[in-house]
Amino acid sequence: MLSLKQISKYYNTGNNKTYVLNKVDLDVEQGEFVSIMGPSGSGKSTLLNIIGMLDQPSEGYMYFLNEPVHQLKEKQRSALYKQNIGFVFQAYHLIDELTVYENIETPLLYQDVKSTERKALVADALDRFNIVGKKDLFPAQLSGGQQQLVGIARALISKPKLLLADEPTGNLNSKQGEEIMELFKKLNQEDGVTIIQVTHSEKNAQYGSRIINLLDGKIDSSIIL
Amino acid sequence: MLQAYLKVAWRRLKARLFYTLLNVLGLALAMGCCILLYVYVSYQLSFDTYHRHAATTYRVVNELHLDKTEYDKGSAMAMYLAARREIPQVVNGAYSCSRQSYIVTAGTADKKLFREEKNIAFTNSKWFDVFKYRVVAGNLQGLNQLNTAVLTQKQAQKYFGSTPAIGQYLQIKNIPMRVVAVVANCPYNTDQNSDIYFSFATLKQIDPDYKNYTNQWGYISSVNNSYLVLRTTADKPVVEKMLNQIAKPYFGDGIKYYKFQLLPLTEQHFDLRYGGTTQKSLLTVLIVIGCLILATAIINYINLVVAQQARRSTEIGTRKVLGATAGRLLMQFVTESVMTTTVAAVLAMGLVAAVLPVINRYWFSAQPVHVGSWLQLGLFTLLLVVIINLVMGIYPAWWLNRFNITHALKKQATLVQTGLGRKALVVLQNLIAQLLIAGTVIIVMQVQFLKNTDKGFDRNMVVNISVGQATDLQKQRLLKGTAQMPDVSSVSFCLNSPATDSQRGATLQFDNRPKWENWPARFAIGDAAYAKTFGLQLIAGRNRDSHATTPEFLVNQKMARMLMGNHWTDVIGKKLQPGDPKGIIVGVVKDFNVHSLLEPIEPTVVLEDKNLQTNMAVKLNGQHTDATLKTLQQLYTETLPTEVFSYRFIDEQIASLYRAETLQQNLIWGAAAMAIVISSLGLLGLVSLMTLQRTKEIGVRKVLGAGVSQIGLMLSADFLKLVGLALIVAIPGSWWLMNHWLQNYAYHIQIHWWVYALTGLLAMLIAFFTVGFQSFKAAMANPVNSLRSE
Repeated sequence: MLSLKQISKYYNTGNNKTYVLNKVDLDVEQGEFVSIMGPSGSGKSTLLNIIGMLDQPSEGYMYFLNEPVHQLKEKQRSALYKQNIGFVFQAYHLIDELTVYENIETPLLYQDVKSTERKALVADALDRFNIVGKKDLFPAQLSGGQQQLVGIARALISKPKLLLADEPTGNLNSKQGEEIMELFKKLNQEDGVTIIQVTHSEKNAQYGSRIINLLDGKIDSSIIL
Repeated sequence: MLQAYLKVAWRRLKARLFYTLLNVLGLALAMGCCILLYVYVSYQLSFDTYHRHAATTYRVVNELHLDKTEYDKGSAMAMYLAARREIPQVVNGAYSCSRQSYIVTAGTADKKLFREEKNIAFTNSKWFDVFKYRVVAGNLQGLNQLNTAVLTQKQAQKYFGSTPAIGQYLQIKNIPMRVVAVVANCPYNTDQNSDIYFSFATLKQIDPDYKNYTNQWGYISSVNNSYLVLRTTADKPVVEKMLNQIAKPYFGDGIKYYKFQLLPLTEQHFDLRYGGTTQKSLLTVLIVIGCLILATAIINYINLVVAQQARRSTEIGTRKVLGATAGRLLMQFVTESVMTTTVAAVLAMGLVAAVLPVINRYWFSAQPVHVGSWLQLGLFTLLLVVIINLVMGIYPAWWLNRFNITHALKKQATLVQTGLGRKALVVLQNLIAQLLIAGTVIIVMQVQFLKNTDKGFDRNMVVNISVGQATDLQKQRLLKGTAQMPDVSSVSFCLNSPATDSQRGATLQFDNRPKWENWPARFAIGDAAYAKTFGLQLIAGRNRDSHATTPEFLVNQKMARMLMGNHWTDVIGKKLQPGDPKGIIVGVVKDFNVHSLLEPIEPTVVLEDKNLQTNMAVKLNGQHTDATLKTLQQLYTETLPTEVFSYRFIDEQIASLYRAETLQQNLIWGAAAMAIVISSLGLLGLVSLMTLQRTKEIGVRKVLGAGVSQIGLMLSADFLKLVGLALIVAIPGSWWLMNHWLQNYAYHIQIHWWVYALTGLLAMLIAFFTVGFQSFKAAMANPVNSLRSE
């Protein structure tokens, strides 16, 4: 599904190149649940952003659903991720001015989905994540766990093949965190959503099917659970 | 999708109500100003553009090249007739003798007298062919016969009430005039606004001066108007050339001083040389000011958008990740600005409708401004909204295009430093406000200077009363009557007060010099009491004696010097022929101004001309003024039963000389006030946002031991520095601009350094009050609260 070949990301500092990622090779198959771990500054988030096409590598090749991403133009790239990738953030990044319902609906609006279809999809999502009662509330009126739930519902509304999560439980207490991880596991196993998450927590990493450890921009180890 | 934009925009605007209100208010004020200026400018530009052949209609005017060039908008009927006869390019034309004043008698049974001041014209039906009037009743052709009249509706109503005016009679000087037609009232935007038209053929009977008007080529007076309609505008130079050619035989050698020209009808309103009342440069200045004020409001808006950018970038980043394109994100910004400006536009229209009558009353009382078409105004407002939104959309468009998602979504988003651009905008805004403040101060000073400067004569408590063509006997009776009034100090029959806008003068021959002087002298026409009544100071010789057998003249010092240089006192006793009369100079008076102070003092002769002395100037001692005026009225009506009593204080008359300056002063003052209010609104918004964003910093500083005043000053100083920077640019800018403006006046003030000290102080104070409150409020907040909220 996803294949990274010799991906590097560096910044020029004076005459030197500072590598954030250094020739990373990585393959992820459909249906995997990968956890990326590593100390601060090891390049976890950068790797995730490159996979999500929000950021571009300095060097290397990347294939997503057999498309050579490194050869695509900006527009094609954004069309590709728009349809196939969902994002979940540590800080949720819900839009303050929108209700729960509208937040979940937003990606559909940008994909020009018809109104009736939108309604059905959003209603489904609300139902599935058990937040029907909260649909008219604004983000500020929700707890952190509830906000992240909405964030996940929003990420999944357009049925992406790949879900990227950058420390999804970082701002949550342990109980809320556990619930979110259970949900991820369920999504992975029952709905077949491929998930790649970045996490600091050994415990959360255990929910996945593979753990990749990054160190200084290189893959240090890859452990299949 | 549109619905989604509107919904989000509405919620955002509501959530930041304070900033929204600042923006709406600022934009509404600015748009209101722009709409008002548009009303004023378009009204002025529409003058006399609606006539049938307005583009090809020209007024015959002339330049008289003496030492100084004189401009005259009048032309002789003889020339008009010749032009119609001999120049094939002239396809139509009209002639009138306008701005005439008469006592008009209306009605047969109960005769009523009306004093008509300068609203009577003598003409024929051609006039209505060239200029567009709507006939309400009767037939205009009747005006080509003797003893006929055409009235405007307003005038017909005034004379005859509801009775139909057609066939009724009016009388002037006992000559009957039959009303043959009634036309609609003149529109506001015309300078051809007479109310009463008498048949031209009758003029001979009424005014003997016009006996030979058809062949007197020299009868050029500003009340005689010739208009020629040409085939095309391209004919203008040819026709001008031919006019000068056909005039040649009649002027002889004198033709070399004259240059006859054609003034386009549509330019007439703006050519001050030929009696235009509005300077085109003023209109340009107003347009520039309108743009500046609008810029101030737009800067407010952009500044607030920029200041909120850091906060907003996370949202934008998220939306991009969710699949929004830059275009769609821009639409969100545009929806917000369109909503803001639309509300502001509605408010602005309301403001204009409410304010226009008020400023018409106080500022434009002499020439009220009228809205030509509300539809047009609506379209202009729409255009304004579109332009504002385009400008306000530039920044978000630029920002969204270079937007970096990963940057925006960083877990600890660092504050983007965009301070420089914002600071530049604040400086620009303050610069505009300060230029306008300094301009206002200087214009106010100059106008005060013009109104109050010693003109060399006394203008207090002098009343001007028209007596028309009163006989000598009647004048004697008036003099005798006033002599018995204890509160009247002096009475003089004269043409005008010394300061007036109507000119009379001629070239002259002095002493035994063979050649006439090549400069003209102005006339101040009045009897011997003229000097006493207007307080002219005699500095050599004696006053005139009205009963002397040879006419006696007073000249001013300037003229004496022009004639005799340093031996100027020697002019006394010498012969002088100013124009027609021949006499001797008996005295020299201190220089006094016969015109407004726009012009320098000119050589002036005080002389007598009984026929022209149609006014009675009465100097009062300032006590029991009302009672004295009443007694005067009694005496007047007893002595002059066929006249109508009306009076005017000459200091009011003098103030009206500076109408244009007063108007400029008001307009600039208003604009400055607006610019200050709008830029203060902007500062208020910015400072409250800044303090909000710096809450944490303020908390940390307080914990480290900073006092309230230190923090308050630190926050205010940031803005005051910008105000100071603007001042540095404003000083040379306004010094240059205002000196340029002052050059228009022969007498003007010097710009002193303290004008700028005052401007700077004012700007600083306003900024400090705007910024200070917010700063100190933020400085007083408890740091525990601000530091905990993370």
